[in-house]
Amino acid sequence: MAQHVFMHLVKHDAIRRRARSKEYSRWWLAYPVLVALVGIVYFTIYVSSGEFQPQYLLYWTVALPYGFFMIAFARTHRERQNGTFGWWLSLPYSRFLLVSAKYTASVLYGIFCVLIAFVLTTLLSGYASLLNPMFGGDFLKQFFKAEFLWYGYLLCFIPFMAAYGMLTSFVGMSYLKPLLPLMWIGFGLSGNGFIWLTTKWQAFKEGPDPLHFAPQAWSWWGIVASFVAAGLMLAASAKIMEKQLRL
Amino acid sequence: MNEAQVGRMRFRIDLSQPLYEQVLDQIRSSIAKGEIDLGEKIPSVRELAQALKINPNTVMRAYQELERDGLTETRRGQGTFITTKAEQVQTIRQNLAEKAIEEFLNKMNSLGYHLPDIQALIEEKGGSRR
Amino acid sequence: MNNQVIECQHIVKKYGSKFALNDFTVSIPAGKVTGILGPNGAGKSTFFRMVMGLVRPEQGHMQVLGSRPGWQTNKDIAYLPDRARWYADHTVEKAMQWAENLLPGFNRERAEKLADFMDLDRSMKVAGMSLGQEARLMLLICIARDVPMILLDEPFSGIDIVSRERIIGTLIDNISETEQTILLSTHEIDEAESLFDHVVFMENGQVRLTGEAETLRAEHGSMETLYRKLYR
Repeated sequence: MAQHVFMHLVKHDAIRRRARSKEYSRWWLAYPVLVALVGIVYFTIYVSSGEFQPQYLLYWTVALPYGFFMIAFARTHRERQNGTFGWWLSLPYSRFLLVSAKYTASVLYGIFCVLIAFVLTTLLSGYASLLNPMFGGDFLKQFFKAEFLWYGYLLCFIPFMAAYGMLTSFVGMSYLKPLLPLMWIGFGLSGNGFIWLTTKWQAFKEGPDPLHFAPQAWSWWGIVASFVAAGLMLAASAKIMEKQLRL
Repeated sequence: MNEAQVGRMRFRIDLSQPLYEQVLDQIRSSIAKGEIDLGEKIPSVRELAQALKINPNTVMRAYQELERDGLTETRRGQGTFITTKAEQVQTIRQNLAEKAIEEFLNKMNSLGYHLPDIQALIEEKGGSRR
Repeated sequence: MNNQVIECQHIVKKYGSKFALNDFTVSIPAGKVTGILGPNGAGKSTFFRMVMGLVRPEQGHMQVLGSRPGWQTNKDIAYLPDRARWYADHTVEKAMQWAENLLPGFNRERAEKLADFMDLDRSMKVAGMSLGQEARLMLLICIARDVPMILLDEPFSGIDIVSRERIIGTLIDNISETEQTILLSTHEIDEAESLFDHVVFMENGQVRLTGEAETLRAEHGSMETLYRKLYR
């Protein structure tokens, strides 16, 4: 029975469409489409100019860990804001189950975002190789490999950041609220974790080098430790939800 | 004040007095006045509660007392009916009449009227009524 | 056999320096409709949250359905929180599915009948509903459950008259059909008082007066009059 409930909770949390009271006009779609078209044109010009390097496509991804935190934070925070908190809290299931379901939904959403990013990067680099043969052939193969490893590594950051985001939200609602500034400082530090782990010490000023990125052996232990930490934070969230909430 | 017409009975419920007594009295009164016939079906507990917007348990209590008095009978699956025994209704009429007279006499006494004066007044007023 | 579904003894709950519940002692009878009445800040909502185990007392003893309050006992309780809203991205249909999947004892058949009675079309979107319709939906979700106890915290607050009448009508049907214990807190005493078997008047976290509604009526008049008398 609990499993069944868990699935439904995850489903409920994972698929939250924006509430629209009226059917919106299809015209609004025109804007994103326009932006996409302009983007592609700009991209084409940029690649043809010779300034572009495919690894540039990956630089922005270092911000994603912050996103993973915010997804989880917002999910819990929103529950309190929009008046449905009482319903969630009074569900007759263990706090750990409720917390885990929300967490799972956040993690799934994070994975989804990474997948989208991966697909976009692949498509754009493929397109770039068509425009400039220098980016094709062997180079493209090497790029795909690097990209795959890069995004795979990024995925490993989701569990920790999502658990941390959720915990921060709970701390903010509890008697432990005084700890909140520390939590946010920690957020700033850990969000940078991805950058640190992907940038060679020697070339720190130049930033990450996705093409020649190879995770250090010890960082895998760090990843495992982060999973354990995520589990602990999840348990902590459940504990706060059970005993410490300021209602 | 909740007023409602339920079938052939008219109810006036005053929230500042116990409700169950009022439901009971008003049904008895309806029966005595002949507003509902012998053997006629009265609304179910739920129907009456809905019409008067009061707790069904209150109505239930009144119905149970009516049944104890022998004024109503419940037939399984069919509902609640007024008794077919005319004597029961007569008894009720008698009781209500006596009660009315008692109240009347109390009131007159408090105004300083005694039996001979009361009788005289009744003759006077009663004559114009016939 | 213990016929009290809720027993509180000398419960104390503070928020900072303010007492939400202050030596609060009360017994709620089973199978009856009990009105929890009192002005704002009397502690009614805190009491309800304590019954649901969402808030813990600092002192005192409490039993709900024979156990300590907590999420385990909540499977037998349907709770309508105060100032609650429903999930804006749902439709009536989706709401009923949510309840079916997550709320123990949810009776879909009864819910369908109630939705018709409450005039709620299945495809209606919550985001487009008036507060009254939303209130009717949330009440439906609570009442369509076969559970021993129902807690309604200010179900009439801010609701239009028509919705209120529908809600009261639904409650009357519910009382006729089931042996459920219902706890209801409200300011709209004049509308709801005819539903109460039992009442508890609260003030400043304590019980000022409690008893059978009919007995209190004989002594003091309507519950509304009594309310005015107590909280002048």
